[in-house]
Amino acid sequence: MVSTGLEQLDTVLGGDGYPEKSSILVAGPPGVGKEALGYWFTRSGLVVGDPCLYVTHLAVSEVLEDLKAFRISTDKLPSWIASEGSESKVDMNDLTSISATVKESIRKNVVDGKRIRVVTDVLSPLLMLNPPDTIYRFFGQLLADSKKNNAVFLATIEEGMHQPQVLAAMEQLFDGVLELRLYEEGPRVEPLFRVRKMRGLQPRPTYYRYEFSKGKMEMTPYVSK
Amino acid sequence: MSASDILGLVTSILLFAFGAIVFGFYIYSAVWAFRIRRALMSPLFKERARWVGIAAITFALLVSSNLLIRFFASDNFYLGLLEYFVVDTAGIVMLVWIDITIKVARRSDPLNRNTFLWKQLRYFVWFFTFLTTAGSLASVIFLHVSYFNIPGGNGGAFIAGSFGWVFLGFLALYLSFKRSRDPILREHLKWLGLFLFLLLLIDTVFSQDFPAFRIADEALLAVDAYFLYRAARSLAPLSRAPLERSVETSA
Repeated sequence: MVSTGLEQLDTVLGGDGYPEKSSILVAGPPGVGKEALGYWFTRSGLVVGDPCLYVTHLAVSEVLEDLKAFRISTDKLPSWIASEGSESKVDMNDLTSISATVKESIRKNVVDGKRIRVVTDVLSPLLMLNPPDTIYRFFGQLLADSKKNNAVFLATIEEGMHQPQVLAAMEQLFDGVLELRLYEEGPRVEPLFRVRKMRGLQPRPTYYRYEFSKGKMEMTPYVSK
Repeated sequence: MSASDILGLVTSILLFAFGAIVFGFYIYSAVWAFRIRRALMSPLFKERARWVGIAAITFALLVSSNLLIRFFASDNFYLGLLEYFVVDTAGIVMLVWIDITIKVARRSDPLNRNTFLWKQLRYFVWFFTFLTTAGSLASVIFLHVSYFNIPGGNGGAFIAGSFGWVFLGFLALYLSFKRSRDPILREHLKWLGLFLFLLLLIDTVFSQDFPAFRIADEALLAVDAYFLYRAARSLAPLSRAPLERSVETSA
């Protein structure tokens, strides 16, 4: 198992985090902190010495700004494939080059078949620029190749930006789906978290109220009023 | 009581009624913005929600000070000064809101484009906003120009001056709206755009000092305040569907 970097999330996932050689999708509307799960996952990998690859449609400086805002240490950094500020550039209009760059970077970073952590936010932007079936095939292939290289792959997707059937189709590709949402109940708006599915884990329908504070993800089972 | 007295009384009642509605909408918008801010996790999105809330409070202050000046002391220097402070603050607050929204829009753009060269242009816009603000404050303090004694009775043109640079940001937002394929952001940009457009219209066209225009001005402000409320509600999509089978329901 691979730690998520967040103790309480590890507990919710059965104690040890994400399964080995798995692909995880974090779904939720913009602003709910999906990327933070990716940052913590990367950070935890860097601490234990796992090679980490961060693939983003943003500039490296923007991600670093975010890390600081979430109070995540930037003393160790992953390998980047970004639109700006990285050696390997991501061209969102060129699927072939993205695929080749990611595969090449994974191969370059993996030493002696050691595990690698890959985090990306490019799924939603790619879905905005390409037909869903193209991206379905592209990601299916990318995930299969990543697993062959012993990677644990975490991707984020924006809920509300794509058709529900597109989101449902993308979820099929992943071993685990974590859902974040903002729930309006009376005068309150609550941030809720749920494990929609996870390989090797019994379905758990419980929602958790969550919060990121002092470098931790605080989670409490949510009781509807 | 003469007919003109009755007309004056009716006008005052209508102005107060519309003023109260506008004030209520602004406060309610602020409540929603801060409520959503509390639930958001991403620092950039939290920041945007905070400034929507601050903008709503600033506009609530603006509408209250405006009513005070109109009814009690239209030529009072200190109230005039307060009015200027609030108007100029509103201009700056709007610019912060726009600035952050453009940053959000850039992140939601799949190609991460620097729309309208905003990354560079924003420094120029901020510089001139502070310059205009300082100029208008100086004119109140040293020239004793107040919102209601500008030649022609049109204080709106003066306000438009303070907001002028904000509308450069408005253009950048419009471009972001055209480029964005994110329906959530587009919804927020739509309400923000409507709010800014109507605000400009009210301050330039309807700010003439005629009773009919004053009532139309307040009525349109009520509509504008509603646009701000919708902008606050559209900060993030909220799910209201019951969480059946997903949570333990309390007794």
